[in-house]
Amino acid sequence: MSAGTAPPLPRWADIVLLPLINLAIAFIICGVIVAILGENPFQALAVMFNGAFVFPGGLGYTLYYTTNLVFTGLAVATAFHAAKFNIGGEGQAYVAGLGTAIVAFTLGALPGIIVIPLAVLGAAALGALWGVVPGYLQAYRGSHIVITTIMFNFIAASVMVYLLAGPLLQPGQQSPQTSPLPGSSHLPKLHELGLPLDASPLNASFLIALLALVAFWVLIWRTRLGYAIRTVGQNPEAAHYAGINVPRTIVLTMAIAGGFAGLLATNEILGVSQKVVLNFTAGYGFTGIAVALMGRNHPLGIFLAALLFGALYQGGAELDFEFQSITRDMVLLIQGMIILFSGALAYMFNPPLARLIARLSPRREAAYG
Amino acid sequence: MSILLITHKLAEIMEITDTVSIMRQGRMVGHRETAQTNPAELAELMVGRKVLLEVDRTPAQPTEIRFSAIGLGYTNAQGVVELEDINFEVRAGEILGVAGVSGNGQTQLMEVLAGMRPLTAGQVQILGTHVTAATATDPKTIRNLGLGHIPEDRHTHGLVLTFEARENMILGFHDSVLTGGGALMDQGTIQENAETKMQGYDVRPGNPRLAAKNFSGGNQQKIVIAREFSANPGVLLVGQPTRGVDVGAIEFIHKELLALRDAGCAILLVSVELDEIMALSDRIMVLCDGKNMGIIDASDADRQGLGLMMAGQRLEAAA
Repeated sequence: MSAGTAPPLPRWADIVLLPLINLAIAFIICGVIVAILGENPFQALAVMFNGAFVFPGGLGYTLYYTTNLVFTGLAVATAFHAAKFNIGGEGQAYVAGLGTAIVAFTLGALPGIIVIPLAVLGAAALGALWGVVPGYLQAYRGSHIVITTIMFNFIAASVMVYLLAGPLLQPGQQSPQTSPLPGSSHLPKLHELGLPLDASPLNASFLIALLALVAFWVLIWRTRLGYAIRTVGQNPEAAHYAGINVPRTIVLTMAIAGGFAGLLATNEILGVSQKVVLNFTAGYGFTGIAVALMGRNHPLGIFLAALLFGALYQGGAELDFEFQSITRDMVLLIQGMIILFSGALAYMFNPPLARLIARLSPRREAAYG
Repeated sequence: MSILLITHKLAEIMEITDTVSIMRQGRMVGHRETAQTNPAELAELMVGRKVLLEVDRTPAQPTEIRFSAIGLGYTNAQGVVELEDINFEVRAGEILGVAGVSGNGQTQLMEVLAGMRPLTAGQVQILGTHVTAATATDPKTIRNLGLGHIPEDRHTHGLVLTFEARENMILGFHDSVLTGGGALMDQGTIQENAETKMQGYDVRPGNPRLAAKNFSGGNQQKIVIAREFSANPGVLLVGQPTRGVDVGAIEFIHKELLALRDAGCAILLVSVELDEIMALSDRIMVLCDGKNMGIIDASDADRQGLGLMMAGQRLEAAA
């Protein structure tokens, strides 16, 4: 190792300390900006915290946002394990709305216990389809997946505008949306299930999100497909040597990634709006990239990052109400700072931190050569 | 001018240096005048024990043909002919060495035989199964026929450097019994598999959870060798088995290779080290420009004759 490089960071510092430092820096900078705007940053922080977790319904809203971000975060993380950058979560989630609608409208007469699982699968299937096409183009035609997934977001947006304003438009409706989905396809709200929660959009999708996190962990670290995905991601040539079908694995990975993104439609459509509306994905697909980055592509990290961003969505709205000089855009600023320090500059404090830890910890014998 | 040469090739040291210092595990363990020392002493200082530099090889006892190629050819995607009309057969219990100046088709030959590239002409027979250009195949199918493969470049093909040793110990075998038979991979089985093999092949440190990149070159190679050897292959492709490997590990790897031969494996050995080819092979095939210059018995081979063939003279002319 050359003289300039720092010693490697201990695992605990890499996983816990470094992200916390990055987060703290982002918040400090935002605090300074709030102070410049003439408000008390600590008061602002308290308002955000209370808005996200304490005020009636706040926690429910936070977890409802978290649900969306878990799904899109998983969509990005799955592809990351195969070293593919899936920017297409937004589009995959958007067309997945179509999957819920198709199932709900065609099978709506059946009882919920049948319709709901099929509608969830419908969402995942359409999301998967929207992931498979860029996956195929990357694996077999060498088209860069970053480009194609971005393009597929635009295609999804155009297709959905056409469908919602045309063939699927609710008769007599002015704004582009479908008719309400049959009642049998509605997911129950958690506060309706007898849980001690205030009224909020939080619904059974949150439980699906928790299941998805577990399923993701099992898939990546306990299944043979997950082993293949990680091998393709870490060393595609070794994967080929080992008899793993690299292109097919990439396509499968993108199918699963798209499927995760598609589940966002279960939260937004089956759980909340109960109809497909224009732009229901609202940028969650893009925030999911930050969630996956910050969560280090690990389900626990993804959950915590999704919770953080969910709390920002919800608590940030509160800022707007409470302070004269702060608008909703402050949330974007905070998000931007967090993405900047946790994503783009994630390792900026790595070398000084590593040197500090190395100096503080007792000298250890050099590892076996 | 003063020149500092760092190498583990003893012949190079003896050839061109004036004095030599020997490092072992981060310490200088000896300083010698080159003229006053010999390779055996240097090897002993490097490893810390007596090392057998000469391979102790008994004559081969070859039996049935396990592995052969007839008119094998490979033309790459750009239309360049990289292998042309390669014919050989390897019997159970013998080592066929492939000599040649690096870049004369050895890599392509290994990868075609392992199913990593499609052959475009001729056919290959592996343990009774015929592979032709028409029966397009892949590394998994070939492996399942009973062919083991120690790739030339362990960092590119043989290992996933960021993976733990135990994960590397199942590379190519992740859907076999080595990961347990169940729907999910069994961590206990994977750990046990790695522990046993790392112990059996003296991989140090013997920690299955350590990432492959943290092992020394020799120990990385031992991971690959442990994995491929213990699958008990009927046919084995070996590429550069001792590239970037210390003297102690070289001795170990050569011994294991001969033990596998004596157990009845048919081995095709590719190496750029002519000494290694001559020390281990029972017969030697020479490649030049993707063509077979001829196959000779190792007992009849000398460096000069092989050198002429490597430069493009056919066996008849070189002999």
